[in-house]
Amino acid sequence: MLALAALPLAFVGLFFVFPVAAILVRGLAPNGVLDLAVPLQVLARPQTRDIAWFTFWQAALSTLLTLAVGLPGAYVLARFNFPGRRLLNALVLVPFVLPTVVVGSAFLALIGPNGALGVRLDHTIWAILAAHVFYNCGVVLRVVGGVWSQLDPRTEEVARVLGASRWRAFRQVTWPLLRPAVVSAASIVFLFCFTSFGVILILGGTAYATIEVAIYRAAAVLLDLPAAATLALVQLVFLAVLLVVYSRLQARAAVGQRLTGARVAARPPRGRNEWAIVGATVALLLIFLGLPIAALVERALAGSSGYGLDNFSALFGESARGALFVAPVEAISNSLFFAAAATAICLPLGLLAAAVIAYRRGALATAFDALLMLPLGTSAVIVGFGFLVSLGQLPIDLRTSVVLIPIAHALVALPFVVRATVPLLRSIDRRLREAAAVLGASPARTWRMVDLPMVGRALLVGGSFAFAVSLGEFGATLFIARPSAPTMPIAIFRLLSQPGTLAFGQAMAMATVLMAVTAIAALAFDRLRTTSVGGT
Amino acid sequence: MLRLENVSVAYGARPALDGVSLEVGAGERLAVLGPSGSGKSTLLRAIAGLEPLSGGRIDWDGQNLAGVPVHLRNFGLMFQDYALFPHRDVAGNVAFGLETRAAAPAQRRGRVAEVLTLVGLPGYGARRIDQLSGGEQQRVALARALAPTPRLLMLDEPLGALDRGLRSRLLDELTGLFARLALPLIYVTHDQEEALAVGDRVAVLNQGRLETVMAARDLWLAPPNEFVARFLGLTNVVPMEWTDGLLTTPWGSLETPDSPPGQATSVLIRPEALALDPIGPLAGVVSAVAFRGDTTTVLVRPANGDGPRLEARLRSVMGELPEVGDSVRLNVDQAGVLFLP
Repeated sequence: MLALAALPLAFVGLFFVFPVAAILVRGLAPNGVLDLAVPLQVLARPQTRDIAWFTFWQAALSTLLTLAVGLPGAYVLARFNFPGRRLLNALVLVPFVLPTVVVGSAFLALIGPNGALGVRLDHTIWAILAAHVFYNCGVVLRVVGGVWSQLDPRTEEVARVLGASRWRAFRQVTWPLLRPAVVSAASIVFLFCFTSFGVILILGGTAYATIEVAIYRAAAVLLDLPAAATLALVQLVFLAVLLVVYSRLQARAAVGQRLTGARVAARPPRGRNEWAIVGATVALLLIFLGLPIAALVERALAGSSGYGLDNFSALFGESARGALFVAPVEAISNSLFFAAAATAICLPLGLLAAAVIAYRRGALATAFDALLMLPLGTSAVIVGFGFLVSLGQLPIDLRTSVVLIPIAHALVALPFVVRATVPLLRSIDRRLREAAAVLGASPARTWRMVDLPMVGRALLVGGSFAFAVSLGEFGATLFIARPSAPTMPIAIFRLLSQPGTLAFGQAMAMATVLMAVTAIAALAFDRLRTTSVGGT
Repeated sequence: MLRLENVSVAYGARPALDGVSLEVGAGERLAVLGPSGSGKSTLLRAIAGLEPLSGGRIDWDGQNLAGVPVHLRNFGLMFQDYALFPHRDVAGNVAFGLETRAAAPAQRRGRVAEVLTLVGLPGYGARRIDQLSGGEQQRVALARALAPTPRLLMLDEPLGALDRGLRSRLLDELTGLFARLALPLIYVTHDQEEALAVGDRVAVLNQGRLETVMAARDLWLAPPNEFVARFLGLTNVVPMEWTDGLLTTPWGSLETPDSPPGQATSVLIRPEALALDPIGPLAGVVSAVAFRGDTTTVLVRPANGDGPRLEARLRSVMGELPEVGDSVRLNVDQAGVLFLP
C-alpha cells in the first residue's frame, strides 16, 4: 500500500521540499558555507521589523474582526430555522472560495478610485481589514456554526433551570463546548491573514506589506534575492511557530469534547426580539458579503455610455496601455487550460495519497498526511519563489517550461484535494460491500456497483476543487507566469496596476468572469460533497 | 403550590399545549402520561419557563410566574437523556446549581456528596461523564436536579433511555426515593406502568389537551373514555348494545347489574376477566394464540364470520389451551366489565 505513496511523495519532494530547501541554502549559505552575515543584516533593517510587526497585528486584528462579524452569524445560522437559511448557508461560503485577486478587485470596485460608494479607502488599513473579514467570514460561519448546531440546546436550558442567568449559561456551558471550534476557526483565519498576499498587494498600495508581499517585492521587483530568501526564512519560522501553537491549542481545547449526539437544534425564531436578532444579523451578513460582489458586477457593467457589456467585449480587444502582451481574453483560455492541466496532474496524485491516508492508519500514514499538508501551511509565494531559485539547478530547466504553472497549481491544490477526498473514501462502509456480496454480487460487480460510484464522486469533488484552486492561484503564478501567457488573476492584477478607465473596466469584467467560473466550480463541489450516496 | 390555568403553548400555528389546567399540591406526585407528541415535554418546559406561553397563566403559591425568568424559578428539571455537561465531571455537574446560588465551597462539597449518596453513587464525584453507564448518567442527572433543593422537581421520561431490566429496578428505587423526599413532583412518561407506580394522581395528555386527571387507582379501575383506556393498555374495547340489563356484543349477550351511562356504545372487557367455560355466555372462533409466558393471549372472532377480535388473557398453566380455528365459549367476571362513555 505504501508503494502507492511513492508518486505523491516524489512530487511533493521535488516541487516543494527541494525548492524550500533551496531557499534555505540560498539564504543561510549563499556560497556553500554557512554565512549569516546577509540574513543578520537584513534582519537588522528597521523595515524588516516593521513588516513583521505589521503582518502580525493586521492578522490579529483581522481575526478579531472576523470573529466579531462571524460569531453572531454562526449563532443565528446554528440555532434558528428561517426561510432562506440553507441558501444563506451556501452563500456565506462564496467569498471564501473567491480568488484573492477577485476579492481585491471587488473592494476596489466598492471603495477604490472609481468605486461605487464614492468613498476612497484603498491604500488604507481599513480596506485590507474589510477584505480580510469579507474573505474569511465564511470560515467562522461554517466551522463554528457547524459545531454550534450540534450542541444540544438542552445543556444550556438545564443550566438555566439550575439557576444560571442567560449570560452565565453561555459562559459556563456553551462557551467551553464551543471554544475548540472558535480556536480552530480563529487559527485558520489568522493563518490566512498572516500569509495574505493578493489582497494586500492590490488594496494596500506601496504603503503596506506583509512578509509575503515583501518577499515578492524583494525577489521580483528589487531583484534582491538574499533579502527575499531571508524574509522567506522569517516567514517559514513564523509559520512553524504558528502551526505548533495551533496544534497545542487544539490538543488542549479537545479535552472533554462533546458527547451529545447531533440533534436538529434549530427552531423558528419566536417573538419580536428573536425575529429582530435574526433579521438584523442576516441583513448585515447579506449587505457585508453581498455589497462588494454587487459593486464588482456593477463596475464591470458600467461603461462610458451607461450600463452594458462594453467592458466584456473590450476583453476581446487589446489590453489597455499594453498591460499585457496579449488580448485579455487569452488569459481566460490560458487559465482554463492551466486549470485543466493542473487538475489532470493533481487528481491522480491526490487520489493515490488519499487512498493511502484513508486505508492506512499509523505513524507512517500520519507523517505522510502531515507532509502533504505542508504546502498549505507554507505559502504560495514561497512555492513560486522556490521554483525560481531551485529549478534552474535541475537537468532540464523547467523555469521556462509551460508545465511549471500547472505543477505549481497542482501543488497548492493537493492538500485541498486530499482533504476533500479522504472522508469520501473512508465513508465507503465495509458493510456496503458485504451487503452487496450477500445479495449475490460478484467481487467485480461489487466494485462496479458500490466502490466505483463513490470513488467517482471523490474524483469529481477533488477535480472541481483542484480546478477552482488553479483558476484563482495568484502568489506562485506571479513568479513563474510568462508575460505572453498570463492567467486570469495575473491579467487582472496587471490591468489594475494601469491607470485609466479602460484598464479598470477590463479588470472588473475579467474579475467578474473569474468570480462566476470559480463560484460555479465551488458550488458544484459543495453540492457533490454534501449530497450523500450512502455510508456516513 | 403549582397551579396552571388554561395554559397554551404554540409552535408557530400548531398548538403544542391547548388550554391545560392543572394543580400540584404540596408533596404531591403527579404523573403525566401521554403518547409521544402529546405535549408532555412542552408542559414541563412551559412550567420551567423555557417555553413562552401563548395563553393562560402559571402560578406558584398564588404568584404569577410570567415575569420570573427561568433561572430564578428554583424548579428542578431532569431532561430525557439527561443533557449532562460533557465538559464537567460528575461533581461539577451536580455542583452547578449550587454554584449559581453562590453556596460556599465547603457547603457545596458537602451537599454534592450528600445527593450523590442519596442517588446511590457515593464517591463518583471525580468520574468523567463519558465513563458512566446509562443508569449512572440517569442518577447523576437526578442528583444534579436535586442538589439545589428545588421547590418542585420535574422529570421528563427519566427511564426512557434505559433498557427494560434496569428500568424496572430503577423505577422501584425512584418511587422509594420520591416517598422520602416529600417534594412536589411532576413525572412525565409514556409508560402507563411507570405513571401508575409513581403518581398519586395521573394526568393524561392527548394532542396538547388534558384528557383527565385522576387518582392513579381510580384511573386504572375506571378510565373515563376510550382513548385513556386504550392508552392504559386496556385495548379490549368492543361495540355493544344495552337493553334492560342485557348487554349484546358480537360474541353474544351478557346480563349486567349496572346500566351504562348515557349514550354509551362500547364496553371495556378486561382480558384477564375472560376465562374458558363450556357453558359461558360468549362464543367465537379462535383466530390467534400467542404464548407470553405466565399468560397466553387468545384472540376470538365472532362465530358468524368476521368482525372485531376479543382478547382473552388465560393463565398458561391452567388446563388445556385452545388452538387456532377452535370454537370456544367464554365466561366473564362482572368486575372486569366497564362501560365507556
